[in-house]
Amino acid sequence: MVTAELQAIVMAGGKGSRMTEITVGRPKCLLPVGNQPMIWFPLQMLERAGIQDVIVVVTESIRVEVQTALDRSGLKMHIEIVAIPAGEDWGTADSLRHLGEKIKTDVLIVSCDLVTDVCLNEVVNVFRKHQASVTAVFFRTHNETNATTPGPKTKHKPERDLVGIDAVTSRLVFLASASDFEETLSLPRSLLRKHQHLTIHSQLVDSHLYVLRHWIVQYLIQEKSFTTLKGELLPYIVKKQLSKNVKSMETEPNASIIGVDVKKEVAQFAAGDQLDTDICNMSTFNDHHGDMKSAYHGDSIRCYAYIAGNDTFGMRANTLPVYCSLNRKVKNLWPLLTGGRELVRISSSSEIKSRQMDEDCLVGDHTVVSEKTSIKGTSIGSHCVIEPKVCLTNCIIMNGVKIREGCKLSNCVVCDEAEICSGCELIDCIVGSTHTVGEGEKHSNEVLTELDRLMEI
Amino acid sequence: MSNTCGNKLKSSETMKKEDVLQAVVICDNFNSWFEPVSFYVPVPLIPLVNSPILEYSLEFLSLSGVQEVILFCCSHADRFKKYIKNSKWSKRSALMSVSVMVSESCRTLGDAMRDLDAKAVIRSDFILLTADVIANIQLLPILERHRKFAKQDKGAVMTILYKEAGPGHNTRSPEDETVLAVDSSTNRILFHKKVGQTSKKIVFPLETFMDRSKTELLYNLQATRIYLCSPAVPPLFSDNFDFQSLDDFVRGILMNEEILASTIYWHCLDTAEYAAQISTWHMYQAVSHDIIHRWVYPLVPDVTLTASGERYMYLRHNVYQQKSAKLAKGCVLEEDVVLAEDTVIGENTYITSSVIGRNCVIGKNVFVSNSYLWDNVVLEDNSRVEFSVVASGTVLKNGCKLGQGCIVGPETVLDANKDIKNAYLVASTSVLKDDGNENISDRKIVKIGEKAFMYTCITEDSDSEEETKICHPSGLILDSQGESEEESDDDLTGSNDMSYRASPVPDDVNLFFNEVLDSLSRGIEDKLDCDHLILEINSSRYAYNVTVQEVNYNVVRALLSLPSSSTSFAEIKKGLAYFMPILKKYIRNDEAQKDCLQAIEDTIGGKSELWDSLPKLLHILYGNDILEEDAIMEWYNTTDETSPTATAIRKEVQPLIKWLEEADAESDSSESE
Repeated sequence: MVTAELQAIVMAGGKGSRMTEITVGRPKCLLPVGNQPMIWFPLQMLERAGIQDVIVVVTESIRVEVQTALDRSGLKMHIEIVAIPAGEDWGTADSLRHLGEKIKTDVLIVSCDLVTDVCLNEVVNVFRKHQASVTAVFFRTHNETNATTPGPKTKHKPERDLVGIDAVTSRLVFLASASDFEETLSLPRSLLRKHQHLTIHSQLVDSHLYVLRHWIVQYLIQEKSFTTLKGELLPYIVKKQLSKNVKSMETEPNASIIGVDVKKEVAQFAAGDQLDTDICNMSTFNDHHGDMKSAYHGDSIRCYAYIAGNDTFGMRANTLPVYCSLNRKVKNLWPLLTGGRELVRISSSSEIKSRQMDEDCLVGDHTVVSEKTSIKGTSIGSHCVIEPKVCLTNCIIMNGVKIREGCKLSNCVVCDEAEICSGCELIDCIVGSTHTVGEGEKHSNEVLTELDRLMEI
Repeated sequence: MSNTCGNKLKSSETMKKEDVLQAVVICDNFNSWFEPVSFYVPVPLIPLVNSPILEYSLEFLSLSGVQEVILFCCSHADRFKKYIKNSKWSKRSALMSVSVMVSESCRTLGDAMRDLDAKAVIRSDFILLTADVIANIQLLPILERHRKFAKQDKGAVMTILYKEAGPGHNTRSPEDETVLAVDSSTNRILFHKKVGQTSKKIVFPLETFMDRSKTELLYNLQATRIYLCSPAVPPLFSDNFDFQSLDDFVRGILMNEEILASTIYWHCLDTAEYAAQISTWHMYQAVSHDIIHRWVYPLVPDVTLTASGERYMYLRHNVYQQKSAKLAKGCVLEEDVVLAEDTVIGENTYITSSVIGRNCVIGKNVFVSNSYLWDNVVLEDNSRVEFSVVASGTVLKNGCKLGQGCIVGPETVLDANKDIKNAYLVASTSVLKDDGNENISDRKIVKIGEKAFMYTCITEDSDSEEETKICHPSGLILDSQGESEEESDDDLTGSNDMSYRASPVPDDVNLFFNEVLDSLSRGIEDKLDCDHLILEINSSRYAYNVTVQEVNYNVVRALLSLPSSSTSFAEIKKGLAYFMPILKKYIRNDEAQKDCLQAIEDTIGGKSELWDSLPKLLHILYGNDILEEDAIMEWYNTTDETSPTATAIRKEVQPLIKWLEEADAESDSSESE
């Protein structure tokens, strides 16, 4: 039902720069979450909402890898993979601009690291109801359980946004990163005059799930200076709501020559259908009260926020703590997140000889788990070998990992193709991909990886 | 049986002292908003729809369950004493006791509170308000709420009552625009700021938002000036001698929350409840209107406030009339009119949206609209009064006209056929001199009659410019049309200046231009050395990484865009002379000259008033060897046909071109010789 109206785009070009420990040499969008590549979650969410065509934006270098992963994912929708140049360090806005002509209608943009059970229909309804220019989805932050994160002990300071939402109309009227301000925050009085009851949220998380009108993409194509959606374009559009509608740019009497720009202003892009405006003017509907202004204050740019309810689950796996906590939670929330699908805990092609394996474990294809092992709360990827007398507690073991006899790992992340030789004891560690941990080593709170790989970043 | 009864009595006896709900009414507003009338009458005794304002306040307190009122007087104490003595409040049957407390040395509300603390009359939670508050709310439930806050939070000292009134609302006093930041879960006030008329930006401390997940910013509120205070409030005033007004108090408490360990809460009135403070003439007008329209029920003329005298009849179209008012043939009471007893109205007189006091005599063919006539006013035939307040005993002779917000003091006599707009009138100048006000020199007093002196509005505040836009200086709203215009004006300026977040795509060249403009304007102001300025410009250039071409272009543009030189050529010339070394430094080759000319064209092109000085400008540059002849000619000949400005500009410089050509020919010929 959402098909013809919206085009869906999944942004998967990110490098995972906030958690380089585990993303070195690995596409972020293919990191396993509950033994599925991360990108599978937004895609299946779109599929469940009835979207049949999706564009996935990836960097050129990982295109093939993503393609194969998606082919195996079992999604029925039509997925078009569009590659962006790898070395350019493009932002999300650049990627969207790159799609350019491919975009013909309003777009729904999802980030590949989003795992949520938010109801897309409700989000799109907000977008439809008010002829919104932008609808952005926000989550409330949940109190994180204080599980220790693998790796060196660092204070992860979450990035906080200040989000101003009109309490009456849910218009999104202010958006800025808290770190942009020092001691004070100044708001224009006209903003408060217009939105007399404004709620400023400081603990909402931007889901990076946006529904954008087509004209914004057109504007973006013209305006080359924007590189990211969240950081630049969105705050700009949100801010532009406040400016007056410029009705006739040309007839301004003493416009200087330099002022006359060939470029079109945002407002001109936003100017809707004359018919829509007429209908709005003739209708008695008004979205607010308290002053005598017409509905929406006559704004053609209208941004709305959709704040997911308290019982909605939503997380963006873009930092290590969130990634780990998401992996812990995803097993229990599986039916919610996937629309009632059953979680295949133990792949049928795996070979399990262990007797001490609790319900909280996941095992991928062709993995061999030997006897006399104790495995608790751990997800193990495919093609792994777990030798006897291994003890795994709350670990994330990616694909092709070999864990030799007698190892004890607790709260660790072991990346692809790593090998842990016999007799190791690792607590709260990250083992980088293809790294080999020598025999009998003992580590805690460390990142174990080839040094030169870390240097690459 | 008798036993239990006795117990009850006993317990109520012991409860009594604690439970008597006290209210402190401050009988002074400590400002001069009600000039010149306030010279004669203390503000609380000003008649509002023919009853003194104080009467409304007391009635409201009595209706809402207050048992003891302390009337705190600073000036005119004897008049208040006399008033209370003669009123129903001193009768034995009164439900509420009213005691007058006098402290003539008080100059501010803070002084009054300190005095109250010294006299130790406050026993428990009390209600604090000024005598000019009109309301019809039930205070007891709100007081319950306040006590609940106090139970949860030991530091809760005050609950401030607000009512919802969006910008542009009639009973929203323009002097009282406030922004409130509150915590919605606890109703605590986090931030309170009175924003003046002019401030375009409102600055909040960041921690207000960061300390909690959700903060509500409210701009749709009007303070009712009713405060529910805990007994801790007067001591707080005593401890902090800088608290002059309640606004100081609120600001002080919120700023030093940790030190004073006190918090303030808020309560929003139900939409059916009414409360307003008559702080200015604007509010006087708005509240009168609301009383006539029965928003303040039961405080309306025909119900509560006719303790003395006849009852009002409430007629169609909101006309209130006491029986003994006499109407002659052909006179029209259009709508929203209040006529008090013994008033006589002559033939063919037209009255609308006005209040007429007792014993007024209004002649024939008089026109009264949107005005407030107090007792014993005489309007002779053919006079006309619009948007004015006329105090008691004033006489307007034949054919006088008052309009656009006149405030006429008592006993003034205006001679025939005077036409006065927008002024204050008093009967004698003695009050103006006596009152010891420093701004006397600001008043221009004009004698217009034996008992009529006129002076125009005093601009006390620097921000009154804006104010005049909204309404008349006196504060009366003249026309609702004007107000909405102002609104849109304000919106427009607000939108131009919306940089609450630095533009996400700062244009480096623009930034550079602004830097240069800054440097230059500072340079000319502080008479800085041009070499230093060149250094500054160069460092800006590297900071913003702009090309040489852009530097040349923007330096010239900035030079011509200096705020001083935006209007007259003389200023530009001065600037050019001063900055010549800079120009010499940058405009060195042909390319630079091209940029320079382009900059001139673009800057001057936008200001048609400067077009005629363009040849002179070019001539100066030519004379100082900044521009060469070839460059000017080349620029002249490369016309962009499509741009009308470009063509027009080139037309302007034609004389110079001609002169150049001639000079050229001459030198050619001299060379050939």
